[in-house]
Amino acid sequence: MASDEELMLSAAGGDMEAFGELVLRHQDRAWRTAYHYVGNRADAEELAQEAFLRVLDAAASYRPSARFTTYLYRVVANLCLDHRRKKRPDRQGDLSHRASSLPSADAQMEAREREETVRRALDKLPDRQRMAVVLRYYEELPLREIAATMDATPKAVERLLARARECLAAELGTWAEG
Amino acid sequence: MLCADVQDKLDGYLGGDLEPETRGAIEAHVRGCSICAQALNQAGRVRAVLRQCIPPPVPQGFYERVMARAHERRRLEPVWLTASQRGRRVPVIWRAAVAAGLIVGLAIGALMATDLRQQAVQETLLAVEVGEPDATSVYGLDYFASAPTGSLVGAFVSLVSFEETGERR
Repeated sequence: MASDEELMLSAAGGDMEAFGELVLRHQDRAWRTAYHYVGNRADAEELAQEAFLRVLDAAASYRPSARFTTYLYRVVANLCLDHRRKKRPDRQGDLSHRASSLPSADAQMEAREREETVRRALDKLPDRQRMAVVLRYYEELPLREIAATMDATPKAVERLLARARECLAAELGTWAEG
Repeated sequence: MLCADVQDKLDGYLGGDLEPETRGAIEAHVRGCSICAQALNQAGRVRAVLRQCIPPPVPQGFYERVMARAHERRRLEPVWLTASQRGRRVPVIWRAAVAAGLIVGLAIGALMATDLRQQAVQETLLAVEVGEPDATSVYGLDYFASAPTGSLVGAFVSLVSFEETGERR
């Protein structure tokens, strides 16, 4: 099975099947990252699609100096950060898959209330803290990879997460008190 | 370790990112510091609450829509664009704007040069028509009229005057 880097080199030469294979392999992570960051399906899909198109556009100049996933996360992160600067995030109306699949109405109501609280808390975070949280808590990237994705040092990422955690704890209130 | 350093590293600790030595130092600190112990518990709860929000799956048809847009982008690219150039291409509108700017600039430059040349010719013809008695005045050499005798300038003035009037100055 070809590596991501080999597929990128093939895509640079015009091999659209190779590009398609990259999309299939990594569409989940692009989608998840965008969704957790912007909070609604429409914008998340647009961002995730655009990320892959940007990857295709830049394929000829791609150099495998880092893992492809780090490169893709960086493209997605930059698009999300630009999106937030241009447009206020709209988190209305989107509920998580998990909440809607719970068996009882009470459980669903509790889950929805928790998710609304989490969304409001994430919305209040500064852009880079929010992205660090998404990459850490939802994508479970190691600190070094988050640093490479966000063009920061690992120490700076630690600080971003620490500040974000304080804000989130304050906003989540009883949900985070256990 | 200081409390600030410990609390900065709690996410790394919970995620298993830290070196064993650093983990050990944090654990030792937390055992003796109630504030950092509380911060560690809180960090764990925040993490747990956030991770309960699971996104919906990738929308159906996402792959097909991406590929359709990708093929459309490739289709609209100039056929002469090589693979190596594709990745560094400048948007078409930018290239068109630069080309238009160059053409306009060259046209303006050509018009200005033509205009200046015509102006210079007209001035010369006017001077000849007026019939300046002193040939040197056509070339604005009046200030050489008092050139010292035997000087190079004087010789030049004499030469020009001789050709015009047949008389030496």
